Amino acid sequence: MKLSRYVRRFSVKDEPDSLILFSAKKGSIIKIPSGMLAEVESGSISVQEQKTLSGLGFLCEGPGAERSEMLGFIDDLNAISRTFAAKVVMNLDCNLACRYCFEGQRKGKFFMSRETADLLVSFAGRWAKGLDGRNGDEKIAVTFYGGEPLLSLDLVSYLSEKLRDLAEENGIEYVAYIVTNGTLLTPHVVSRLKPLGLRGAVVTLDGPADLHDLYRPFKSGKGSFGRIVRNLRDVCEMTGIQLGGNYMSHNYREFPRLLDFMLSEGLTPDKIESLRFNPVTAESDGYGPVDFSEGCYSFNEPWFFEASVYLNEEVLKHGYRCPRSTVPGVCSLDMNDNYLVNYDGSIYKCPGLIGRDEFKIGDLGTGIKFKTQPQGKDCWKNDECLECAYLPLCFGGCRQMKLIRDGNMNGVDCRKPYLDATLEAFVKQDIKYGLVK
Amino acid sequence: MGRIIVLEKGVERKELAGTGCCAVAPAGKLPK
Repeated sequence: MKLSRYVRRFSVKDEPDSLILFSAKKGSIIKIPSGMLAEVESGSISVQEQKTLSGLGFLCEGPGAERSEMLGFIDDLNAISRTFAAKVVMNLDCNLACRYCFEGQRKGKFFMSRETADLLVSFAGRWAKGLDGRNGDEKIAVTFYGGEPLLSLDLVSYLSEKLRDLAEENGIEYVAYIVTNGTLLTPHVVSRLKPLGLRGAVVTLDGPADLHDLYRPFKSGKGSFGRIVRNLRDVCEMTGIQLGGNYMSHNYREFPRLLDFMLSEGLTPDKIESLRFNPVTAESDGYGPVDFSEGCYSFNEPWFFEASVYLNEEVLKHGYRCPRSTVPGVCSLDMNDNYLVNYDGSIYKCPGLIGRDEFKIGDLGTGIKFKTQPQGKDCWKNDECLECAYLPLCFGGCRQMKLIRDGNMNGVDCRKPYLDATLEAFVKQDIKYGLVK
Repeated sequence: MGRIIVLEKGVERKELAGTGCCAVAPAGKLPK
């Protein structure tokens, strides 16, 4: 057995005789005596140690076998996946006027009809009928999306009921989440949707009140922060709350003030399922908002290195749970049965691609042409990526960001500079804040 | 155990198979 090429090693503060090893294939972390590394590399460790390290992703049969394993990684995931995952754009309307909204010029009074909702239920039904047997892992996972999905509350209820019934009839699990701006997420709404399978809501607060209200006002111009916080306080013990927030290079340092405020207002870590801040991403001319050009084009922008580590530290330091950045990730463009269903029944693989006809992969009425996004597929299957220690964390990065930046998806959105600059800090935060299992 | 201190076991392949990651709308990612 050989040391995997997808392992990074880090020193341990005040322990010169120890090393931290991180496996990008599994997101596993171990500490070993420094002197043991040469034994691992030469294969002279005990059988029991080999077994432990292999199980954690640190060892492989050899470079050729590991290369084959990685080339088949996404296909293997698709082969074992038993989930039908759909983000459903209920409308492209909104009661807020966020300055950076990536849906920008695509927004309008466009609402999903009941007929389109019925077609979605039939589409999910065909997936359920096509399953090869049952092993208990089958799941229909729906994320209601917008615009603002709660402007379509009656149709969200209708669709939830139909999909829940479909799942029950087929003996499979049904879970639903809603990505909402939070202004309409009242106890009444949660009481209505919870019996229909709602497991949680994803809500955005863009920092403390002054910042949030600047970037996420109501259409009237009035701030939305107070209303959202009131709703969060009212519903946080009724359903799971995943909190997000979108920052830019000039304001991310203000975001910890939001964390202090939440603690003082009783929105404590025990009431928030997870919390993660993300950069505002850029959008192409003709799609995003007309008067906004401050979005992030690449994870490799140096300010983002500092910002992502700083905010992860602040979130964890305040006691909130932040999803780990240090686990393998495969883009929804490459996962079968992962769909973005637009309000009109057109099907895409990613919310950022809505309205770009060349990236549409099908339609609820006529069916799908492609299960995965053909443009840029397998762009990472080259020697440079296959030999990069970060491949399992990246798999070519975000093709939508590549599209915005370069006008095409032909090639990778390399994350190496970003991961070179941040991975050690993220791994050490995982250890420091006890994200370890 | 012994010389190897396991700090984090990592994720099983099965846990990654449910939903894809999403950098555009990351907050919409379903939890495991």
